[in-house]
Amino acid sequence: MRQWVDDGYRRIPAGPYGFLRTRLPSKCKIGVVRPDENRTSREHSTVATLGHVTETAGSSPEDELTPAPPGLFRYHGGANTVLCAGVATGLLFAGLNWLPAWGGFLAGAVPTFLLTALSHTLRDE
Amino acid sequence: MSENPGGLIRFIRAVLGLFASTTIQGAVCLSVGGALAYVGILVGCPPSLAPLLLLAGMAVPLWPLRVYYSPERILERTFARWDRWVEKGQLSRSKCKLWKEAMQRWYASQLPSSLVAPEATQVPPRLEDEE
Repeated sequence: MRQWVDDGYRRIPAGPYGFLRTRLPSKCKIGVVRPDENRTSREHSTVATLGHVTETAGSSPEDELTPAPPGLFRYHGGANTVLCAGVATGLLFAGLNWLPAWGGFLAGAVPTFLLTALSHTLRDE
Repeated sequence: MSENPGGLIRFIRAVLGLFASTTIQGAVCLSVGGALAYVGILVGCPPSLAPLLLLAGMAVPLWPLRVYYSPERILERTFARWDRWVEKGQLSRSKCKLWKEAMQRWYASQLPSSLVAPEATQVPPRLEDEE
């Protein structure tokens, strides 16, 4: 029997590995769909309409069933660190007359920026 | 990362997101730093001190910004905003609850793993047989 996912008002067939391969609310129900010959016409149309979303790529069933928070939330801490590093090195280098203020700022901010972006990339993986 | 084609996309997304956030906070920093440098020059500081005043002024709002944009404060403000939307009828209660669960999951991901109970971040789907 094929599996299906029901989020309260629609029913979507599961992907090839038994889980829905798309992003859905976390409160959906997973069950078993009736064989094709026993489905009602409404079920046929619903499955046909929503069938395409089951092919969306994903890595784990748990992730696919939960929406991700939107926005820049995750980057604010890193951006603050970048600015802190830039200001600190800028003050240090300009105070010691090693570099102009903008050069000192970039000397601290750019490497920190790249490292933070890399850290975010590895964390998302 | 080169073996995984998605890695480059994630890196570019992280760079863009980080740059966007840096511009938001950098605008505040530059405003305060610029104001301090301006006042310093008006008071009579030598122009050679202007860059240092600018950087020193930029350092002032960094800590308040870190607190303002901390995960706890973001969670608090976002929940309050969604609650207001529910009160006004602009958002359904079920959707609000769903968003809050997702947001709490994000908040849990920001904490050190030792502080988070594993069951707090997982909402298992309900299994149900039709027949």
